[in-house]
Amino acid sequence: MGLKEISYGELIPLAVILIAMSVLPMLGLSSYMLTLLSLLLLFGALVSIYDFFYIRSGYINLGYTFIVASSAFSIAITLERLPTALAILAAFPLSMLFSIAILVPMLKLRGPFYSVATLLYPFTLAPIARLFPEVFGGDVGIYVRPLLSSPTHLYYLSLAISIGVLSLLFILLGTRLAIKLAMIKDDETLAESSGIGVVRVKILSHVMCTLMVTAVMIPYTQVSGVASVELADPMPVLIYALMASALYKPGSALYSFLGGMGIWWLDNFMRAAMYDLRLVVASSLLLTIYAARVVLGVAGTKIRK
Amino acid sequence: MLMAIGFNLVLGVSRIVNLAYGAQIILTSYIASTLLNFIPAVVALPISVLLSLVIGAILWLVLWIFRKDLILSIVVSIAVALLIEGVLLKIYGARLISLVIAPGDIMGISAQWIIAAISSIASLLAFYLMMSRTMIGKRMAAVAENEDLARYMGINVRVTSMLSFIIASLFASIASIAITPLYAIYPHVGWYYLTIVLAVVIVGGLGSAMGALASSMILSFTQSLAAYYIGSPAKDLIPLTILISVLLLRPEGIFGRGVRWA
Amino acid sequence: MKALSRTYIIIIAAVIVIAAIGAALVVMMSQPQATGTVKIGFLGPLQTEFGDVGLKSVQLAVEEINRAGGVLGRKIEIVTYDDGNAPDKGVSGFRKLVEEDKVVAVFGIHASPVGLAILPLIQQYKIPVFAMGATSDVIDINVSNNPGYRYWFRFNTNASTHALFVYYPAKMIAQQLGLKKFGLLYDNAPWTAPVVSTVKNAIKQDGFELVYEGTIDIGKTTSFVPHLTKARDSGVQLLLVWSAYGDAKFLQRDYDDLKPPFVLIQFDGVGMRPEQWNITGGKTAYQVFVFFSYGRGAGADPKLKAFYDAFKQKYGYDPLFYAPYIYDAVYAWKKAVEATGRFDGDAVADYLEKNGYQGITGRWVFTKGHSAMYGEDYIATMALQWLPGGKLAVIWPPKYADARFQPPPWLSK
Repeated sequence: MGLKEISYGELIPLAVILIAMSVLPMLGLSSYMLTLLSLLLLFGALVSIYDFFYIRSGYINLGYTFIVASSAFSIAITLERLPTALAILAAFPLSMLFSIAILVPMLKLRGPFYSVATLLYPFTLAPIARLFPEVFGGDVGIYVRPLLSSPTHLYYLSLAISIGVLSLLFILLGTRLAIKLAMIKDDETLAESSGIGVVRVKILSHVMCTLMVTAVMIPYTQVSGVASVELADPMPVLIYALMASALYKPGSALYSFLGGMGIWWLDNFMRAAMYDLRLVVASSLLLTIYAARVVLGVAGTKIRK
Repeated sequence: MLMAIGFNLVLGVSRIVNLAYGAQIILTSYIASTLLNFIPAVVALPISVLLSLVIGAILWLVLWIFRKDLILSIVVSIAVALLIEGVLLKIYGARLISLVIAPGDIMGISAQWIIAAISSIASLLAFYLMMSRTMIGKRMAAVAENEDLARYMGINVRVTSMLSFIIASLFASIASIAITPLYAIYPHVGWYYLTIVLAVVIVGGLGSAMGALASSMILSFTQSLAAYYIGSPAKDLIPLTILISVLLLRPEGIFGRGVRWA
Repeated sequence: MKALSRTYIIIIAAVIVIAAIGAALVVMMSQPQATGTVKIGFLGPLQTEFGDVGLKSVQLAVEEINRAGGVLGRKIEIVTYDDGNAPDKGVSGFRKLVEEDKVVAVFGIHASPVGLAILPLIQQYKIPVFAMGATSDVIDINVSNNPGYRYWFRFNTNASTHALFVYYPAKMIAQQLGLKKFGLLYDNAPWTAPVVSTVKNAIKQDGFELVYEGTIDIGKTTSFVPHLTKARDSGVQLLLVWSAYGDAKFLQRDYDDLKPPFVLIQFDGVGMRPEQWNITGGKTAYQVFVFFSYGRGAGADPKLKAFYDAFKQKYGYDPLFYAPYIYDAVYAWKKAVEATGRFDGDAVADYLEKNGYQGITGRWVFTKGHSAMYGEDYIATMALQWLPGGKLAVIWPPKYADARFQPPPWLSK
């Protein structure tokens, strides 16, 4: 599914949504709503990136929040020390450096072993932050130098980056990379013997994933104000990402983007209105979605006997 | 050690990543803490273990259905773990609870430590004998090695998998009852136990029960020796360095058997 | 298959629509506020023990105030938001409480990253914020350097003051027993850096000797035998400990098993609770613990005891950690509002900066960084000693003490 394969039935509602979101600030929305919408967009982008690079390839990276948090730290560290333009540029190679650690298991492990190994990465960030407080700010984290103070400007930046990420993913969906990732998911050994340089594909997808996550985290850290180890907490972010990608076509980017936005909204609602049931609702919803997929035999959910 | 072996058993034999394992561990403790209010420990503890095995068997049934789809099995196990945590939070709240099973000392050593040590050693011994001397153990090893070949040889893979799950749940229950009185628990602590298990499993070898045994020794002794002989902060870097080194250099673990499950 | 896919989409869409309608209803129901009420917000990690106890204390205070007629004749309503200790949720939640729920004050805030993240918002909205935690000194520095952050008040002391929690009772014990040699054992974490430098200066100034220093590898140290052995071999007579992540329970057990010839005085952030005796299997005898507050001692302030009784009656267990601090914060806010006749941040900040507040835990006077001043005349923590049999005795400060420190029997051997 690439740009050419997207039906008008899918493209038109998406275009309508994005146009509507562009004019929302003109309706006099509060700073809170603009902040919330910014986070919705950015989380949607993070989920669609995860969906494309990991769900599509079958490599269930349970350490995704390590990449998210280390990107946030990269941005905060460079902004603390460098002029703005240079800092933004430098953040990308710095976050690549961090994420090399999570690339290695991808090259050596497969299946459940890969997932188990990656789950540990987010939990290494807190001890590292404590051991090197002059770099990571210790338990407090690093205050992110504000680049934009107006919630409206931050919102438009978030919208622009989310549209950019989504557009890039749509383009990638029509490329051979997307096909190769799907082939790796189906049968990696066969893909290798078919002439697909599996290692090269993995490295390329990992690099692209990290760069896109770093781009998303630029406005994200502006909104949150602080880069801290709490961003690495895999629960329930991971479960939300898995839920969002399962809502319709896993690996499709579009639906996971919208799903991610919806789930973040739901999370925000539950934190305010029913915090004591948040985990129960989230996990039940996840089980319901996947059970419905299996029972109704929705595309992409095959239980191979 | 016990928990890591249980986790590795399920991963190796059934190819199931049970991320609800941490939640299973603390569930036993919560059940025991409730029952201990009404019945004596000698009755409450076996009932807690039994209930945990029943929950383990149900969990196996669910995960077995999804095991061929990695995404589904991981998602379901995470969802179950969060569901357990959420329910425990709702019922018991966020407060720490402590389990008192064996207060007092025996010859200057905490009775609880003695129980923990005896139950762990007995379980490990039983596990070793089972794996090396019984047909069940041999079948598990065969399935872990090559599931398809084991099936062709007439081994009932489904039953073998279920047994591995039940044994893992049993280990989780025993570990829970042994160590909870020493730790105190709260609903979120299951993830902490899971990370310890994962650290031991990754260093020792994914899918390798003996690797889990060795790595838990390595990590414990290294830490203790470093605490005495090496000054801080260098000593605090050692366990983290071992873990990160293994993840980078040999992510299948020291005793792991290379890339698995293509 | 197509028909099934459509059914699936309809089901999921229906679930989402229902959830969205539910959310809209909740938002609608929360506005506008009923006449005769005023809203305060609670922002904290509600699914952790700290957040849970903090909220319960605030709820208790609000109930009492409402029973007595409210504040400025208006009943108080609490609106909560679970920040999960994450700054992005903290920022989102803070904005929601202020803009959507129209709260006039915010209580809670446990994590320092959240505190740091919301400081610019505090300046923007000019809403008084009463933190029960977020003890990082970095926040104090920010507040003292920026007049716009003056609406932030920490109803607790900052991280570096934690040095004195342990040092003052240790000094008293050293003087009582004629001991000179100190050892320090602390979390290998940034929060202890100012703690350690403060206590080292104090040891030097008071003419004591530092003979041992060790660190705790957080979350990984399950045996403290090497640390205790090394401390013993170094000639330590009093070992001062700072542990915030729950590792100290192993230290407590190992100390009891080893019985080294020194006194153990500790700040155990997780273990300062009556259940610690059971948690360690009765292995805390003769050990000294710092508690933020304790209302069950014979010398306890009657108002503090009344709070403990009321909390236990309502919730079934004694309050933990800094529950009395945030309880005081609610009453301090009430006092400021009633004295000035206004709810706005400037009025409350002016009043508290000038007058402080006399609470159930002591006298709240604020530093330039709007942290509580620490000492016997201000807010003082308590040092309690566990005695054989599981009894707790307050040994410091003298005005609340109901017993003298009892040296462990093995010390004289």
